[in-house]
Amino acid sequence: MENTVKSIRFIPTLAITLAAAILAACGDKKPEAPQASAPAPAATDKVVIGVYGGDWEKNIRAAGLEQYARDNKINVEIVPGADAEWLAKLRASNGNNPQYDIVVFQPDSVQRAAAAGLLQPLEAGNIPNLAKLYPSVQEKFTKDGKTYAAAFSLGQLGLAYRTDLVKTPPKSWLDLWNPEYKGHVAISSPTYAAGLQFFAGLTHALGGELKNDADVDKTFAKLAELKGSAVAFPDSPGAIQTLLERGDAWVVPYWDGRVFALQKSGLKVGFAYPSDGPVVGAANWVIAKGAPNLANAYKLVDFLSSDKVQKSFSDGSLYGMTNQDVQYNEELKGKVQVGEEAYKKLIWIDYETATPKVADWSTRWAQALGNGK
Amino acid sequence: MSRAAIAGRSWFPWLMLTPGMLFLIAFLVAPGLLLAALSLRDVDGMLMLLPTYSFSQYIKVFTSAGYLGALGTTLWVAALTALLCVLLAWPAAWLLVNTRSRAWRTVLYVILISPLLTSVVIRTFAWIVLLAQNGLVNDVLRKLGVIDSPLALLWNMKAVIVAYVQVMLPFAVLPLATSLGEIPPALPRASQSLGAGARHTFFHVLLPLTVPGMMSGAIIVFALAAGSYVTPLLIGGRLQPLLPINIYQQALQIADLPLAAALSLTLLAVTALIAAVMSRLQKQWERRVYGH
Repeated sequence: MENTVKSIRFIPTLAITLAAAILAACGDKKPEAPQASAPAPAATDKVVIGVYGGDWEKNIRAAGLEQYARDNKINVEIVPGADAEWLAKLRASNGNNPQYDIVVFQPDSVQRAAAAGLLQPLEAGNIPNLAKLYPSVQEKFTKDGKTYAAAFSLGQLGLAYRTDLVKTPPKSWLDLWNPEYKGHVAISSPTYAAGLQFFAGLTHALGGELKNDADVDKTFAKLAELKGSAVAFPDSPGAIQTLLERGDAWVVPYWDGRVFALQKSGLKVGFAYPSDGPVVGAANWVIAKGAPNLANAYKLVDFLSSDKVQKSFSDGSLYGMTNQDVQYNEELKGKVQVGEEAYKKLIWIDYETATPKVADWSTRWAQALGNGK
Repeated sequence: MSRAAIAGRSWFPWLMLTPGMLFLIAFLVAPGLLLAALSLRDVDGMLMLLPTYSFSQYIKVFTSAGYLGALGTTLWVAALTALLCVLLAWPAAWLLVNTRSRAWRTVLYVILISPLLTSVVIRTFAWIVLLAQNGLVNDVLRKLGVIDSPLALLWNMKAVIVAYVQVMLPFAVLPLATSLGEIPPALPRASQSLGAGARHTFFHVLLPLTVPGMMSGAIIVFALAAGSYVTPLLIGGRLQPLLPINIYQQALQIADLPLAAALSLTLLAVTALIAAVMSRLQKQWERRVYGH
């Protein structure tokens, strides 16, 4: 979701990412990246938090981050960025005095970082609000009895459609094959988060699972039937919005909060939670292993997990949240599907299966839909 | 000349070069070497770097029909773009060189250069506005009654090539104009006074003399087109089998950094090789035409 930053803005970040990856490459045993200064030993007066850029940063600042800094007389350093960059930096520090205390990660990054031993396990003793988060969501970040992330906002991938151009609104993932939409369907490639989530949703809708190769084959066979019906293959939120705004695409898999934001901006666009299950794209807080300001990091994650902060982030971002006590505003109440019942039906991607296969799936995906259209 | 003066002369150019060299080393050579090191790393199932080194990434690149096919398509599209640019550049360069009025020539140069001053993204979005299903081109054609339903002009390779040519044309025009400007005006006149017609003069005097300019332009356009990913991504869409799109996806979307590095270095090496061959041919041609 928001971690897929527009390509252009990303170029400097890429440079940093590569540099960091290379630092990791050259110096697994070397002490540290040069810019990290020696931390004060115990109680510190600051905390460094990585958040997504753009509206996300605006919303999280407004949701209380800045107020928190003033109230607690603590220096909260907010650094905009994205998963790939943070992963590389955490890997570079390898649990030894990383540049960030807290970052926001998508589920796949949580899994990757946890597997590499780069995350501080979270305990309800240090973060009381952890107990308020929906158990069906939190269990996705629990492994061997240890919790590695505090889930925050829950983006749900469903079907965005132009209400003025579509006569029958879509209800299921399989409705993309409806002849009425022929020539006006847009789907993303599995290399892009929304594309991989759609791929998982489709596999699920066809009664299969990503880890079974035969099921994946079935998904590709079904995708091949969409050849000629799909008009575009967007690779970024910007591309999806352009397609919807210009009316080139009538139906496209997209996240609920993003669609509600487009609605708010005046576009005639509707959103359907697919009956066969929306797919999760969640934003989750993690604490880096060896975080230099660990005590402050615990406090801040607890603060961010409170219903008050989550409610005001939801007001801005229009996403469902993970704290069970969040009271949504009137505008969102009728729109966004929340609650343990709804969350239990969500589809979570099995990244342990998916991550090593994404490149291969992407090639097969391009073949199924026609090379060099 | 004293020995000291000669010695002074030999170090002076190096001193002058130092800032530029340091800049190149810091921002081109060093990152290039680091990229090469990265491309030799192995990754685990979650794509995290392992502490081992091998050629596994290159083996993946050179044994995959997908990546090799993308490399071939990339080179072919870049070559086609270079060819179209050179063809279109000729009349433009001719006009630039033969415009007598200095004011007009300035205007023409400004028109030529101005696309380079707008961002790639803006130019690319302009093409989307023009070519979309409810874009300007389809609207006009529909109003004129030429078509009933909108044509799918976007998200295909043709649209990518059209956008490439628009963006890169100036890079072909400028060296060609230099090359044309260097031809003494007496040469074509001499050719014609010796009895050659206008066509004969063009094909046997002017054209051969501008081949070096055309080659320079073609090399620049080729290299730029082979490495660009924003335009194909936004205009061509994800389905175009182009290597720069693959690199973008591996680096920024899948976050398989070693594979992205291996793909980039492969593309760099192949492009550099082709550019080297082309510039060798250009040198040979110059020797043939100018005899030195």
